[in-house]
Amino acid sequence: MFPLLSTIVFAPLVGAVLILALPERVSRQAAAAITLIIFALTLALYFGLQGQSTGTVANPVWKESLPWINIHLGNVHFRIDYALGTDGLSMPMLILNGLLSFLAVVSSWHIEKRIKFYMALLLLLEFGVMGVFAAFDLFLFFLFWEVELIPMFLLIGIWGGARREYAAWKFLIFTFVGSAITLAGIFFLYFQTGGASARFEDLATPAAHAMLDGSLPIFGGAIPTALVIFLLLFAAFAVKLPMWPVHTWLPDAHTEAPTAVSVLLAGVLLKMGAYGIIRICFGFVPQGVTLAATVLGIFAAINVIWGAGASMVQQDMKKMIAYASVSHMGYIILGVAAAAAASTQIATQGDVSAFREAALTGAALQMFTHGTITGMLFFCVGVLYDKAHIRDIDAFGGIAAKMPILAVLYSVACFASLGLPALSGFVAEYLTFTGSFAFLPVQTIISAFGVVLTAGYLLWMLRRSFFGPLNIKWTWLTDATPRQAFPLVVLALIILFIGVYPKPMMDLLAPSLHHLLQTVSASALTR
Amino acid sequence: MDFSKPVQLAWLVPVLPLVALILNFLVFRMIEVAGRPKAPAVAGPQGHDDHSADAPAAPAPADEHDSGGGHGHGGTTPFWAQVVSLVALGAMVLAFALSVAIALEFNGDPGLQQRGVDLHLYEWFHFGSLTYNIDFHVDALTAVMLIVVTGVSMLVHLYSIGYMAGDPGYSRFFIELSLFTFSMLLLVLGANFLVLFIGWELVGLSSYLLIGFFFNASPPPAGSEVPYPPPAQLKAFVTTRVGDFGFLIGILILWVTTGTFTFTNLNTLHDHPTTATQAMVTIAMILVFCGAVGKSAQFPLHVWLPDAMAGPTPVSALIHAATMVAAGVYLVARLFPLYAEFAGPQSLMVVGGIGTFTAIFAATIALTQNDIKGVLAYSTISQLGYMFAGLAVAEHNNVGIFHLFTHAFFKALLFLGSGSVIHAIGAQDLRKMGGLAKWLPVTAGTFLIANLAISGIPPFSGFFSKDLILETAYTRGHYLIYGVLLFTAFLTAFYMFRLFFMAFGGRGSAWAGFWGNGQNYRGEGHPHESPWVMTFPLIVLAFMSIVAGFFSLGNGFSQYLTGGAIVEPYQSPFVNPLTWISVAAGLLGIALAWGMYGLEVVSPKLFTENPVTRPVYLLLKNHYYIDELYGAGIKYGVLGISKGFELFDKYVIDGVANGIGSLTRGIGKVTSRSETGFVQNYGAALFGGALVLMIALFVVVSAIGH
Amino acid sequence: MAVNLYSFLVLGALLFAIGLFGALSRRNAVSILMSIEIMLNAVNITLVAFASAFIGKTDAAGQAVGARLTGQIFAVFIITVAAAEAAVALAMIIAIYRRRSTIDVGEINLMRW
Repeated sequence: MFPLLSTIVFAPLVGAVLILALPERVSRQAAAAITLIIFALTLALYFGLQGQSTGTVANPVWKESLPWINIHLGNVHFRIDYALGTDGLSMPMLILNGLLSFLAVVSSWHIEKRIKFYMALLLLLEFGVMGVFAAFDLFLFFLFWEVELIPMFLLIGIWGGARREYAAWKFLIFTFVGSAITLAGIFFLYFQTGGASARFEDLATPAAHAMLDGSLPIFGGAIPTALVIFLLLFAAFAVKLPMWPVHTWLPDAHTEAPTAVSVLLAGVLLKMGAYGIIRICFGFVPQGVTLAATVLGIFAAINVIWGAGASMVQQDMKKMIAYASVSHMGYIILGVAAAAAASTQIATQGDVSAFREAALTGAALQMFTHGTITGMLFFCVGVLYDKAHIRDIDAFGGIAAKMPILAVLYSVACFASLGLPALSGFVAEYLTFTGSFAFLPVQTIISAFGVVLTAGYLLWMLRRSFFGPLNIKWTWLTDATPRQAFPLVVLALIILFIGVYPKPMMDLLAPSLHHLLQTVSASALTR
Repeated sequence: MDFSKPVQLAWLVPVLPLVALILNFLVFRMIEVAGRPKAPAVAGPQGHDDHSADAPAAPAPADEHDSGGGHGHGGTTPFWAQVVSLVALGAMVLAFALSVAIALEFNGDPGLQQRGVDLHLYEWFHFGSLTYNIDFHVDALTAVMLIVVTGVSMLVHLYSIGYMAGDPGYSRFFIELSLFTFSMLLLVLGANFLVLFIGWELVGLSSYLLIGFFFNASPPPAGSEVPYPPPAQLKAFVTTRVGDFGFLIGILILWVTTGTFTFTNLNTLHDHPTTATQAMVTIAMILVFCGAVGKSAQFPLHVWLPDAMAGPTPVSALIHAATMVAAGVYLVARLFPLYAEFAGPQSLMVVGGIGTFTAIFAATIALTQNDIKGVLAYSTISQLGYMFAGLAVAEHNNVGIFHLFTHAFFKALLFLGSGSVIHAIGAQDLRKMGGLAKWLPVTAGTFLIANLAISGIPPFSGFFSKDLILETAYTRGHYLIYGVLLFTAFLTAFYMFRLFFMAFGGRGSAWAGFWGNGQNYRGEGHPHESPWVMTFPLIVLAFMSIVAGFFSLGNGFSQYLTGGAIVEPYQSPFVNPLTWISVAAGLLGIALAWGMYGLEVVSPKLFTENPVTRPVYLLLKNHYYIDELYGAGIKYGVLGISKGFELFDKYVIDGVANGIGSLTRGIGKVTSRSETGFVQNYGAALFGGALVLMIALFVVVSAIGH
Repeated sequence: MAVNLYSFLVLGALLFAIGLFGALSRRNAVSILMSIEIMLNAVNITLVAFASAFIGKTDAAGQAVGARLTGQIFAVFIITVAAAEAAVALAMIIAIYRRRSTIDVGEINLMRW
């Protein structure tokens, strides 16, 4: 069997080396070609598997595995496998990463500063993210998790805006602290579950879950082991997501990062946190998530409202969208928290597990839709910034007259973000709410109010920048070029398609999450 | 496909405008835009040349609405833009024909009227028993709404060909109109909350786009009553979203407790398993009504509708008077069994209370407005209040829906007539009109018919529907609602005829002030009657405003709507003395307006300048200062809290993060002093330490040794 | 007073202390180098002294300890290494002197924080 998944994961690494080897004048073309090929490969992986069962953790659709490290030290058995796999949860993210990386390269065409190194770093970033979503061994997962840090740090630190160094360091330190705690959690989990294997299919079983029962004596109290492990594991994911109150690195990183890096940061890097919560936390330590579900839901509501509120008062478009990201990621936390909640708060009509599934699938769908929508928003700001060299909302005014195409596409992105039906954001949010309301009604109501606030700040931004009489300062502005409009149109079409006909996406996501919930409810939710 | 049963083709009704929309957007508008004369390339200012060089190929677009405000007079409409409008109009004609066929198929088939027809389009997804489907449901209520929506929309399309002629955004306008019609049809055809909500939000989008049609308009001068498009569109969308928030929560409560979105299941809740208690359904229905309050501009979310008049006048007619704003009424009517049977009486009490209060509240504001569209906007809010009151007091949804039906025609007529006036004189301030009937006879005549209809004068349509509401309120014991609405009917007649006299008649006019002869024209220029594409819709609507009421005779309309459930015949309205009271209220209002503005024997200054009533006048004139109140609430409440969030992030969270960083660095700085960099110092420390350890060891060993 | 092992050890210790003091207190690089040489030689004395003291002794397994000449061999190694070290160090000192015109270690602070 051709190792397609390994090819997809390592092709960006090879591509990065290739770009460094090739002369600087072809860096852009080479990077575009390589990322396009990788995107095509992810699509090939998806379409090649159509018609087969879409797979689950226990039985992923595509699996490649080799023994890697396997040592016995006394009675300690330490084993890391090179195991890759993909199922319905990770497949959309692989495709999204392939797509956004390609679009990021296209939108970075105008960059002149050390373009060769820049493109190589973009590919290195793609490599790390691909690895995270493809890894099927917990240690391998962590390894890839850390790979992404270095290119990201450099991309912000070298090609960023005025405060780039502060932003880069803030990003690095926040992420690193989280990672360190998570690594401790990974070891704890590994040894607690018998220390024989860290492969996903071995950890996501009722037998493995059963080994996490019991409690630890901490500060004189007995704290459930699963809760401790969950909290440890959660650290890196919470930072990456980002969850209030460890979210403040994101606005700074977004504001300073170049457009393409912002797109990737919002589009796929944040999703690594969401993916980790669903796959690792909920899949491996469901009891822990269940114990924390109510509190997690409260944090989700805070995320939504806090992010939306902070967006409202931003002057910098990018910072506003960054806070909007914080707000939207709250819906993902809400969906997961609801799916993990111990019991319904409102007597439901119908199968309780169906509501759980709706909530969790909504959260997973939100991962993809938010990636496309926020990616599109950042591309829009990028187009504007490349022309005008400022992003101050109030500095513009009436520029829709000069940039009708950008105005239309920007509006599409805004409406998708505020959850307008027929665009994908609505599907994800609506689905999440319909599921989560049964379990966490109060948190859901508070989160749903975020929909109103989102409409407020996004449309207010449009009104101030694009509508009204044209500010005479900007009479020289020209509309988006075809190359600038290309990523926007591609993303708009995807957003529209999922918004109108979400079934293909749901057919991909639902079986994996259904299996996840079945495994989990056998272990945790019924206790 | 069975063409003898047009109801099976109901899905085609929204698809027609959708096809027109896609075709126009992707083909004809593109051709039109590509064919526009290119503006000379504008060079960037110094320092930006490097970037304009980066993007030289971008064609400079023709500037739409740089001048803002008014629509084009005298400009020519490009050929492909005309194609756009004709395609859109053609789709609407077909959709209307199909709607008529559907409505006729329902006629005389009580079973079909009650049961309706379900059309399954496609599935979004499902989880266990929970399904999310795109389904349509056609019953008598839907059939009525289809007629209203496609009929008015078709006429407005036709009218707009004249009204928007020469406007640079001509083709864009028709594309957005198609989008609206498609969304509205989706809303009325939806078989479940999912489809309805999709349509619900999409009409909000269309409304947003069309209010902001003149997106580059300059702010109106201070003191002008004309609303300004950019803030108005924002206000419209966000205000209705506030209502939608409640609506969504209501949907969620019903969804979780019943496991279904489908209206037919919800409306027959007794036959379906549910965990919903009556209290829960009551709360849910009040929350669902919040959505209706937002969309139908009821107090306290009415503030967006007057501002929505910033859009082109045909839009005001179609969206903000006849159809979209009635969506809230439709929603309550659609779920009427839930309100009436499953929820506690509190839910309909809320509906009736809000509706009645809004009716009189908006009518009082309308008394003082000078913007012709402003008066009509508040009149719309008031009439929508009537509809809600009609729903709340009646046994079935026929009472409210009948008013919706008749109101759609005469209110669309009023708006289109005001558009005709604005088109003729280029102003919309009533103080700049007067005696216009001389130049605009068709407009004035049709306007008068609509005025008589809305004032409840027999035999015009508004009389039948309004009387039905009043009579139902009285006979079912809602005396307070009856009294308030009766007084509102008086106010309505007064402000509508105030408008009529100020615009078309006035002192010195023929027929005792009714028919102006141009003597008292206060504006500038030479008014002219509108072209036939604009007057023809007026005539059609005037005809409908006269005859629409007759549908209720012999309970025809009610029987149709409820599938023959109404047993008590409603033969002639005149047998009931109550009828004469309501007609008298209308006539009284007309008489007062006639006296004050037609004959001008009673001066309005009597009220406006009088020290006792002047504060009341100012209160009404300024819309009870509700905009100011909300503005302050947003400024100090929402934005204040938001600023608090941001500052918390900046100083507390980042303060902690940066504080830890600085602390670490500070400790490092202090302790790094010990690292002198001199190897000799390190050596001294090494050997000194070794010495200390040796001595310690010696002491310990000798101590143990003893 | 008989010359025995302790006398050599005391001598070694004294020399080491003198060298240490010199290495830690002198600022002149050449002096420091000389002091280090003294310390090395102090160690040499100690090594050789121990080695000769063990001549004729056997360990627990009955093997002759002193016959291995371990201490002497170490001393020879140290002398060799010390010579090489002195050569390298003097070369560096000369190079530094040429560049900075000083061999005061307090002033050679290019890599100091």
